[in-house]
Amino acid sequence: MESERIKTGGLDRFGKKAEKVLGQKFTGIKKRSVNDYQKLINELEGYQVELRMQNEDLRNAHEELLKSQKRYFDIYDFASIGCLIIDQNGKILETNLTGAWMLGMERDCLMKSSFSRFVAGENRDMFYLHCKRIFETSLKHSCDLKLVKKDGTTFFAQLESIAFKDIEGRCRQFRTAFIDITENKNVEDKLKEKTHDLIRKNKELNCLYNISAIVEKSGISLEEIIQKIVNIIPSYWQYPEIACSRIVLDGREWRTIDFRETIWKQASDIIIHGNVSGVLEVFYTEEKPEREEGPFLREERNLINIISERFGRIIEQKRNEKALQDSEAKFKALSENSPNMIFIQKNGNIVYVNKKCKEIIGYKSEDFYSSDFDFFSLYTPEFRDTIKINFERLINGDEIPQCLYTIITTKAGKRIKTILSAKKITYEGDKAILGIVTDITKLKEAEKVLKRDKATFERFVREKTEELIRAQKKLQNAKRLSDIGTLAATVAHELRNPLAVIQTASYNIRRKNRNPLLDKHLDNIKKCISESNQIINNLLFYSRIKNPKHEKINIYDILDECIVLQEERFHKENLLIHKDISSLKDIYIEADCLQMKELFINILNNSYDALTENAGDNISRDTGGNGGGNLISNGGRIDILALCNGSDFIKMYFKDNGPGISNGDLNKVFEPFFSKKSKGTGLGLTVCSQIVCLHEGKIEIDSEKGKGTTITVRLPIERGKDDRENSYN
Amino acid sequence: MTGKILIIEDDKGLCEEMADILEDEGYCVNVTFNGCNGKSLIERNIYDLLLLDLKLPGLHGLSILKSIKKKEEKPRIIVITGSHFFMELNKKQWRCKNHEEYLLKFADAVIHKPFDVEKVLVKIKELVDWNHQAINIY
Repeated sequence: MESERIKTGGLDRFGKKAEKVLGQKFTGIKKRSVNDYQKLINELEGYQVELRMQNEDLRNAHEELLKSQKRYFDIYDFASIGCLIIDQNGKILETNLTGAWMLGMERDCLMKSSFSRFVAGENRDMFYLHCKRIFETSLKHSCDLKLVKKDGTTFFAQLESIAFKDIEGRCRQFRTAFIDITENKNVEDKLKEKTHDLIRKNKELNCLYNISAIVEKSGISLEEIIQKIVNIIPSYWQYPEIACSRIVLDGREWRTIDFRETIWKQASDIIIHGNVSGVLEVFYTEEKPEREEGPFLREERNLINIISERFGRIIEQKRNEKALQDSEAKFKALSENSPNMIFIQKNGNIVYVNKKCKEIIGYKSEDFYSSDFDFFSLYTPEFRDTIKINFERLINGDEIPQCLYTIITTKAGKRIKTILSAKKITYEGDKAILGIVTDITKLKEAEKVLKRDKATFERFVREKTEELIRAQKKLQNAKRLSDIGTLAATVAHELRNPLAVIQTASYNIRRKNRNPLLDKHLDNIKKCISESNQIINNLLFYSRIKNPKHEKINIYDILDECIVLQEERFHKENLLIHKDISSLKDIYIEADCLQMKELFINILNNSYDALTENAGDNISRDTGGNGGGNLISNGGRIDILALCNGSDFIKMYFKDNGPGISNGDLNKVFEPFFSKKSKGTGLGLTVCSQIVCLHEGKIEIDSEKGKGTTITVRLPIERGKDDRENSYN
Repeated sequence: MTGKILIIEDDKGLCEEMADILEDEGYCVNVTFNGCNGKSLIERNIYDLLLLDLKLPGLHGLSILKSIKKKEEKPRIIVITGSHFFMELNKKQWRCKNHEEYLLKFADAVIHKPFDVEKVLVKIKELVDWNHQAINIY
């Protein structure tokens, strides 16, 4: 116990103090009895023990306290936060180790130095305000400051400060705890950046979403789409109120309403199918602060590029769509208007039939498309299996014949012969069969008819060929004749002049020499001139292909006049003309007067020639006679008979009893230049035939060798009326 | 009363023969072979009758016909032609009757070669007499 007292000098001090107190006390109680003292001593000894025990406790408590203090001090010193006590002048009064370390200084050097020197210049005002607020409110305040270490490096710190009262109860100091928040700050910055990025992305997405919404809107033309896209673009730029945009595509332009070209421009090429096909431009109509690209942001460059790229793809897609639509429409039209039946069969069901299919087979679309419709049942049983097998092979990718012959039964039960040609296609993602069915019923029928008619055709061809050859011959003749015609016309005129001279001269001879002996010769001259003239006339007439000048003429008068004209000649040769033409009296026909005369004179001439040609055989010549009428005929005669059939046509027969014409020559008599006579051009009957033809009539010749010839002329009374051949015989 | 006749005809033989006949008939006959001469003769003299060929050297008969039609005091005219067709007029298209019809607008008669002299003489006499009568009336 003693040693303990020594050790703890403090306690000694307490002891002396106690004695001192006691001494004063004792002086007051000196007159007390021994007993009292004894009692007192005992009491005192009790107190002493008590005190000692108390003292011991105190000492223990003290030691505990010291230990605790030391522990807390360590905690304080090595805490992760810096702690400072700063007075109202900003001087650092106390700091823990962390605080000193954070500020980069020894703790001792830090004391009494101003905290402001560690605050970055730009933050000093903020620090001042912070301090002011602390003392004003005596509440806890915090602020973020940028601090500068002794070595000049900076860091961000968050300060949390509160003022406290000193022993005198005045607020002159404050405690502050600060932590390094540089990392937080960095993270925050990154976060901000990320947020910004997100906003930008959002903007882009929004823009693209809006564009997509425009594109997907149905029933809108490409032009409208482009215009709408142009309209929304400015709203995604930093200054939408002064932004305008334009798209130039393949030489065409789309602009926003307020569009104006300025120097503040951002542009991006539009690429379609790998080629630059246009440009997307955004303009600011006013000057704005400089940014990454003129007044434009980096993000906007990004956005414009994205938009133009997307736009290019939209156009590509739209054009492809259009092309696809066109092509589809084309094929649909092709299929629907095809003369063949076309169907598509997938998994045994019909998924498409064209119009012709429905038309011919007779079912409606919904019948075909219903799942229980069996297309195979349309084929007649004998073909069904073949077709099924072939379809299966086709689906498996094997080759099948190009055409399958089959018979299809229609709804109405009609059997149609067809050719089926099938192809494997992909229809709505699945393997399917495209079938083309051609109705060959008509073809088959035609084939039959063709076979049957082959002989007829051949005959027909032969006939036509012959006709053609005849026509060709005719044509050649015509060419020859037209040449002859020109020649004839020239010669005729040149011959008529000398004929006129001869005639006039012979007249003069007769006039000047009234000698009857010369008359016979002069008559011969006259006759020859007349004959020559007729030859010339025929030549000329024949050479002229001309249309008759139709008039109402009295055919009786004309025929009679011609007969009278010829009678003299006939009588001189002792030939008999017998006419029975009274039925033509008062009959007027539509004909050319001159051509009719030509016709009759030629026919009569022909008969005359026929009757006189071989006169040597039949006619005896009396040389001793006088003048002209000295030839005696053995009965040569010509009968002229005319008939009239009501109001339709007239028929005239000129019958002679001359030598006749052989059968072989009979069909040649109307040909030009055909003549069996020793004289003449062979044109007389040709001219007749032409005239009759031009009058829509008919001329026929009947002859028997040695018996005579009959020429029949039929003429219509009115033009275009006589089409009933041989109705009058 | 005799008439004065002009023959315009390029065939000299025919002219000679006709002149012979007509002079014997008592007419006063002038002859020319050329169309131009014929026209000037008509302009300078008064004829009762003209015998006119169409195909003439110098001037075509038709031109003479047309020039005469304009004159007030004109001769009677007989056209004596060797051709039936009207090459000069109607695009080489021959029209026998029209040809004659057309000529009759200008002439009093049309006669085709070779002709019957007696018939022509009758016609000439008729026309000359008619002309004289007409003159006498005035």
